[in-house]
Amino acid sequence: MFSDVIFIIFWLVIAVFAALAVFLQKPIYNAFSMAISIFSIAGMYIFLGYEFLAALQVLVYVGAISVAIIFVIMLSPPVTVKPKKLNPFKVMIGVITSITFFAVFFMLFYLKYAGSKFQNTQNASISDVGTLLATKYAVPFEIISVILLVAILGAIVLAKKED
Amino acid sequence: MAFSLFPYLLLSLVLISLGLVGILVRRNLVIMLICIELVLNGVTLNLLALNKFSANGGAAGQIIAIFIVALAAAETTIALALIFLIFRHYKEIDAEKLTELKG
Repeated sequence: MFSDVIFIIFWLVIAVFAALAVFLQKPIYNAFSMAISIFSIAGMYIFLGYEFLAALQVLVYVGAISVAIIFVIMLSPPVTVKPKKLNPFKVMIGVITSITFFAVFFMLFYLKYAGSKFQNTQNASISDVGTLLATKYAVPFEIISVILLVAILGAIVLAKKED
Repeated sequence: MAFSLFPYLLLSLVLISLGLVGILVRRNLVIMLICIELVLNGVTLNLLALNKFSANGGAAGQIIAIFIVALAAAETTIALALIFLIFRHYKEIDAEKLTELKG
């Protein structure tokens, strides 16, 4: 009962702040709303039993990605943007696409998984994950590390001021 | 409620739909990047909920989630560098006005 209340609070916080992150007008507010929403998703991972992924979510998304976005927004000089009118046709197309996507997948999930409950409470332990990362998934793991290195170097090269 | 599957799937669907409408409607490049992050988070939540439901919380789903997080970090780094470059070059981050390639 108590955990249900906590779960609903987390659910609503994630949904409301995701909506704010999309529809607010100033980018800095959007960035902070995204940080709150993503931080609460770590709570959802705790509910699911993935403690390591919750810690990873907080470290990477809240600690690195949100900070990087906020950093870039704060580094840019203030631009006086006058609120301009959006093209109502394009807005309508976007909203209709999204609502159709939502409706189709809502029906699919509702028909297939409406009353489903989790059978177990125990997930694969983090030592299993580490062993698999070092043996079966070793090649993708190395490729991911190369991708991260390339991303770091690429960001430095792109953002360097040419003279 | 925390032990049934449907609320997690509904939440991931809400996140993906909100991110989709943001990518299609908003024209600020930074906000579009934020919406892409929301979509990636919805995808990861969906994957992990279904991993717990149908694979008993197996290790493979967690490993794929770790890969998604790493790729999201790389993608954000490059995208922010590009946005910074575009802003310095054009003094503008409105996607509607960056139309040189369109001819």
